[in-house]
Amino acid sequence: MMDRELRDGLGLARIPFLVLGVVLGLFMLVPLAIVVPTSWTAGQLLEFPPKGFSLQWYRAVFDDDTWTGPIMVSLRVSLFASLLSTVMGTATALGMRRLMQGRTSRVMRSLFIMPLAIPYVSYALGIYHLFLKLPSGLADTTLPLILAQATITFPLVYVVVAGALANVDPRLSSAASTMGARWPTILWRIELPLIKTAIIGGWVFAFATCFDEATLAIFLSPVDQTTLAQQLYREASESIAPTLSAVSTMITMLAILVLGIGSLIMGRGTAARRGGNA
Amino acid sequence: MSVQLTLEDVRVALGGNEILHGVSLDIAPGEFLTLLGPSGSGKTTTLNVIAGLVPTSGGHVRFDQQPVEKRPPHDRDIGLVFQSYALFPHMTVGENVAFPLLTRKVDKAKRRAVAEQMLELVQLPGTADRPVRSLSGGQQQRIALARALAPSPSVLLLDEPMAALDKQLRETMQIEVKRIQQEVGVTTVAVTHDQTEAMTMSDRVAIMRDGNVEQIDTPEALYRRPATLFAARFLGETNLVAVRDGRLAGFGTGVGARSGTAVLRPEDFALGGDLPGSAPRLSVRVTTASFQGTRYRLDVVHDEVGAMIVTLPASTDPTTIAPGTTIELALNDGCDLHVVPEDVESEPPLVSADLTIAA
Repeated sequence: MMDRELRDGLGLARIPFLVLGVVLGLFMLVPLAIVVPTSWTAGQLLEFPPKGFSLQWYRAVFDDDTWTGPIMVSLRVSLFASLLSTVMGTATALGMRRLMQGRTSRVMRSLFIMPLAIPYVSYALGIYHLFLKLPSGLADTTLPLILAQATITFPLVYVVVAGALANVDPRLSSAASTMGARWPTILWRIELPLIKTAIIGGWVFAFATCFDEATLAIFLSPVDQTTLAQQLYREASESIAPTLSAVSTMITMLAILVLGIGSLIMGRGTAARRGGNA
Repeated sequence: MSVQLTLEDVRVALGGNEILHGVSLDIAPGEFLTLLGPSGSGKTTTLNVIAGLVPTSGGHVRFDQQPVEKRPPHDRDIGLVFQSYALFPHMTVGENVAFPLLTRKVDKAKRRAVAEQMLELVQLPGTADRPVRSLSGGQQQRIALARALAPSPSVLLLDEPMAALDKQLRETMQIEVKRIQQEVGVTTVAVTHDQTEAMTMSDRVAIMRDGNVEQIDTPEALYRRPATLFAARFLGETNLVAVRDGRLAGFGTGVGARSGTAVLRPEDFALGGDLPGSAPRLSVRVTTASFQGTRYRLDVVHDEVGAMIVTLPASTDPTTIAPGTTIELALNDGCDLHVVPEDVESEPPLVSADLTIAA
């Protein structure tokens, strides 16, 4: 009822919104519609429309360790960084709820979200100098990059999980404690299951962000371990080969796949919770 | 399983304010006690103190003489039914009911069996595998009760258990909760602001006010012999009539006490003509009369006493009590005149307040 009133209330003003939506959509899709076909080209140049159809550039990517190396590095770094930020973000959201109230909580929340607002370049520069002080055994690993990426994706997880927690009745935890549950039981049996889908969603989000991130990687990844996004920049600045399109297409497919699986899981979670009446 | 529950001068301070000023209660094993009071009277805080959800700043809570006030909630062996039920939305009915057994490390087969037994007790057998969201409010309340009772707790606590139910269901559930409590025999403390609910379910009722227990007694005794004017007013409808120099205002009858306030219930009155001349009586003017099925309810005014509420039998001739007429009321033979002595309460009695309105 309410939705209908809101919609009708907009009247003719709906048209500009519709136009804006279509324009935004096109702006997203048209570049993809160009990049993807160029990777099929049977020719030697990056051109649109492509010449013929072939998967030779995909084969080239997988045959060439300038690409396979970075793919593995990116997968590994993104996995560790996103897992780290998921654990930290979830723990922080849970901890804030238990310990903080009122103004302290608001100040703390702003602090936790701050990494979102920090320019990556200046942050990367600072971290770079910080890690120069560390023994080279440490600085030459992907650890600095993992820590930095975990830091910048931490707020993403925190915001998603804290948002889900706000919808969980705090009395459920009190109720569980009156039933004999100590805090580990409350955490594992009540709180985590109730925010499970948000944690998975936050993790997917963090993983995608890490995988796509190039600024921090350029500053922090060790000489012999380049991430995929970093490699893309490097190659693009030297030559425009159809391999770039092939790699971009694969990254896009991966993102769609990961986000698709993520939203499928989250959708099933919601359906299970609502499913009662069916 | 049923324990004696004792509160000894329990105090609670939150943020510098003392909100319980020394609450003492002595609840017998298997007894059903209800804490009744307006909002802010400290009844829910008292319940949460027993549950261990609110820390005390003084006094003792004892289960069978054992002090428990330092124990966390998970270590008290209680069952608490929340006002909102607080059912776990990600679990089935059966998992909800079995949860207190899970925390007590009871094995799975036994958990299942006890859950079935509890669902039987609350008359929802066979619902164990259903999601909790699929149940109605009344059913959810039964599940919450089954869950609280599943571990056979020492003490059962009910926080406004009927608040989320509609009126008709509420009455059914009050009887139902009472039946289950008697069947299980667990010491029970409930919180409510609904006096009918308190009287229906409880063996004894404690009236609370501003963080103190005002009076604790059986529903009958609270109704007939309230210790204070607050108690008199809180439980049922009341006419408070001043007693001065040993005489009841308006009636002129002599009463036991020198001065104070007499508590006259609406049903203590009858029409003067229906009673022998010796009964204390006074003339009043009827302002409204309404038929309520089992009785007539009258608002009447007397020059000295002020406004009063009177109920008369349904068989009364309506023309004799029409608004505007003056009728003679007498006190029923059986009613023992209860007077709250002057020194019990310092606040001005309700009667004088009503007089100013009537004037």
